[in-house]
Amino acid sequence: MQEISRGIIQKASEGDANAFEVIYKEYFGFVSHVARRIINSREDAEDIIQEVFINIYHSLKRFRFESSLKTWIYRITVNKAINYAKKLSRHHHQPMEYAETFIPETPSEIDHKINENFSENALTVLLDALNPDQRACIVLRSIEGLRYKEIAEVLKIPVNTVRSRIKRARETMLALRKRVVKDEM
Amino acid sequence: MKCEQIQELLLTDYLDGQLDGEGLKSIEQHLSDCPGCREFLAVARKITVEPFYSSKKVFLSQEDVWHRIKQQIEKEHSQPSLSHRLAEMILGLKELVPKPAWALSIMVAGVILTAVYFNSWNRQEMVQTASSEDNGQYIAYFTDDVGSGQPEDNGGYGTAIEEYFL
Repeated sequence: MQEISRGIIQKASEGDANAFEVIYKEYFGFVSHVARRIINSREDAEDIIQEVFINIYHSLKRFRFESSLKTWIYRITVNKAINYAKKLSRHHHQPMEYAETFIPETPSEIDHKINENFSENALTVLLDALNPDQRACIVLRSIEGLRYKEIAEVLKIPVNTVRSRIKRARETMLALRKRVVKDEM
Repeated sequence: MKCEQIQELLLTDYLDGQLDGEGLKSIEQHLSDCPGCREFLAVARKITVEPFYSSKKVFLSQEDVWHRIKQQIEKEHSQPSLSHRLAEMILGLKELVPKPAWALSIMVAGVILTAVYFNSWNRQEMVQTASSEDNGQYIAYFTDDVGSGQPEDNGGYGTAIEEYFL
């Protein structure tokens, strides 16, 4: 991913739709991927992506180049997705709405999903076991490959908080696996 | 370090390649001596990290979403909604707030300083007037006093100079 030039950002901030489209095309991949992984519902993720880019379009006037555009867009995306996921979990009293679709009912089914060559569904099961804050850290680290320091910068939290969220997230994943093994024995 | 501390690091910094130098060396030394921690690392890697290696990028339709965004932008440009205009106005005011506040504070400070200056100047003048009146009275009193102390029949102090002028 390349950094967009100041000229393009300036033009987009003045309302130039073509310049804004350059920014959109550059960051759509990241924004859509992260939103989809944190929210895990196609329609909801599309709404969030639209909100993220409209927000960026309106806020570009106030972008002060204090952080890179990439970090700034990461921050808007992750915060929107986390807030949306938290709102969903409050309304549904469950970790995520999509849990009903993807989490299998019996431990053996969970185990099957985890073992089936680390398939897409296994990934969904693992991510669904996490709270939105932990999920965001895992998505940024294990899928997007950001370093702890970069995640801390995106989320505006201390590096130790990133470390502790990742630790708890992985402990949760291990506990899920242990539960499966224990129930099968 | 105890196995518990080592396993915390294995689960985070070690698996994520965040360690280097002495930290990395001591972990690897421990791993070579501790079968329990080696097993923990193997399980942790398999369950918590490897599933993400093969994760597919879940891209959505770039064109569809752009179409929706562009429509919304064009709609806002042609008919800015009341809430949008209000938001823009508030944001505009927010940007402006420091300037008038600064100008107002400078004006207020100027007025206060001027008032304080004139007030002190007036007081000084009054003090000066009063003191010059007092001085005049004092001098008059002094001269009177001096004059009253002089013997009426004596034309002077009787010095040689006085006598010379007289």
